[in-house]
Amino acid sequence: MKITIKWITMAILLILALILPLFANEFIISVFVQAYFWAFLALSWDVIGGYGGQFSLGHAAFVGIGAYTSTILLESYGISPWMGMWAAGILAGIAGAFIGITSLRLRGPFFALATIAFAELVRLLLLYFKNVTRGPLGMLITQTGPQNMIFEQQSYYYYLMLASMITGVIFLKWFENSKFGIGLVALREDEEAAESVGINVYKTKIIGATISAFLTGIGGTIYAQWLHYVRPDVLVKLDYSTQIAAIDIVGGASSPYGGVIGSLILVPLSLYLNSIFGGMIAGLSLILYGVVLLLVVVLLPSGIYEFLRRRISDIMAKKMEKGGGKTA
Amino acid sequence: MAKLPSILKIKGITKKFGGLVALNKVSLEVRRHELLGLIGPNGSGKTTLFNVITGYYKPEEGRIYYKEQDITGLRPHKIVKMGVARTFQIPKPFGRLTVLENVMSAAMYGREATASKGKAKSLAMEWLKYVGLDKKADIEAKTLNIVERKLMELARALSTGPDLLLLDELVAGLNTSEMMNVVELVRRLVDEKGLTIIMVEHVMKAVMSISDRVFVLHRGEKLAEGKPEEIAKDPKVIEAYLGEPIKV
Repeated sequence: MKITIKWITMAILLILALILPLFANEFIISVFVQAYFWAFLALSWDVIGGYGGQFSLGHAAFVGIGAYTSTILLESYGISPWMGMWAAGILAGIAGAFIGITSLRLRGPFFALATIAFAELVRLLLLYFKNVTRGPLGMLITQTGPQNMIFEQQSYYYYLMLASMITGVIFLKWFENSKFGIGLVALREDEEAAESVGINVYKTKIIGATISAFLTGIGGTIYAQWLHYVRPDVLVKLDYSTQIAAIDIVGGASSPYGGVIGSLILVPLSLYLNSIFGGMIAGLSLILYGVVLLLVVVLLPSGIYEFLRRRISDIMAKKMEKGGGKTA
Repeated sequence: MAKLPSILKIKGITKKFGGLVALNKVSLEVRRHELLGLIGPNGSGKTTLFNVITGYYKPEEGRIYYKEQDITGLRPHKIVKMGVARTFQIPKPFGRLTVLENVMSAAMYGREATASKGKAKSLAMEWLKYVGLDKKADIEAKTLNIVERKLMELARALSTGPDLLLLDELVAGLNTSEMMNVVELVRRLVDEKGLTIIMVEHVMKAVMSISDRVFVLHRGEKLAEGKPEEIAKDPKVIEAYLGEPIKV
């Protein structure tokens, strides 16, 4: 019974998501576009950050690498982002493997610091190689048309982001029960014990970082197409890296739904706070946003998804008891 | 007992931590299908020896041969895949995985490293039944009590498909009846499943009753080696460890 309720809920949510552009205005749609985008990034981060327990604060670097790869391919070589996104993913994946190989022997905060430094390095490289990236000015996407992943209406981006996010959820659903997923969680829980069952801890972490970066890179391409431009300081900033991690942790790390829930709450909230308080006192919206983050982390340390899941299963258990009592 | 060929040969192992010599030129041979008890006072180097054999520590001197192959300095996950499994003195469960997933991980990554989840699952269930934990298969490992954690870790080690199994204080903290059950189970692993086992144990009743042979470490060196009844009467062992002769 529980399973059917779950599927019905999912189906209803999916239908709502699919028909939303029919009655929402462009602004609302664009809020959802961003929410889905950040959800996809949070899900990608979850592979290494949540399941793998390796706290990356450099994922904006992979967004940047992905966005620049496809944009350079499009603008300089005329290659469609529908192809370019795969190159973007692969290049970001290579970067993920690189940071994994160099830094994954470090633990906890030291790994996090290394990822911050790595993202900074990527930003500086994007600024430095002016003849390819056009430096601090960034690049405008001048090509048009759906064949180049450029759409006239927000609703197309909406469906593109929605599809990406759902793909992310399905991927994590599969991933968390796969041999590799179980190995990654095992090493997160105890590295020595993981070795004792035959898991190559170092290699598994590197592959985890590669997968996570690959997905994030693809996200970067789609984001660039939505923005219509790329610029180092817009894409590769610590704010973005922390936002990706924060969304996943608030929603519920190491779960296929955490990133989605976190994003659907935090992204509209941050946009809303920004639109109300952004013009009043500088930084006020950020402070309020920070307070909300802090409250969630303190009150629901295992994330919103885990909290809801427990609540629902408690209610279900009680109902079952009641039902049982009546028939007896 | 007929002398069987050796499965493990440890030759002159020295392991130092800074100025402390944890193991000093220890040599030891373990025969196939043997249950070897490894005893000695706290800090005598028993766990260190386990860590050296399984690749967690690199020794400064000496070599380790498993089935005639030099395994000195190999990474732990490689040694597992060759058929040497271990448990830890303080259990290390994968807390947020279920008991079944804990044991399955060993089947999926261990010696056979089966990619098939169904196969891994049935193997894991088999060993969980063997240690009597099959009813707890679907709960999170962090909710297990200490006895269950030890049994789960045993099942997990067994699921890697070992020929040689190293048990580090498996029965410590168990009450007498639980202890005798586990001890019997360990003996059956040798007699029925054909494993070779080295067990570190402080509970003399447990070691002496099931070991084929006992090896005594003292301050990182070999103090004595022999049949349980000989060790129990050995004056050196009595002085260093046992305190008084014990009945076997």
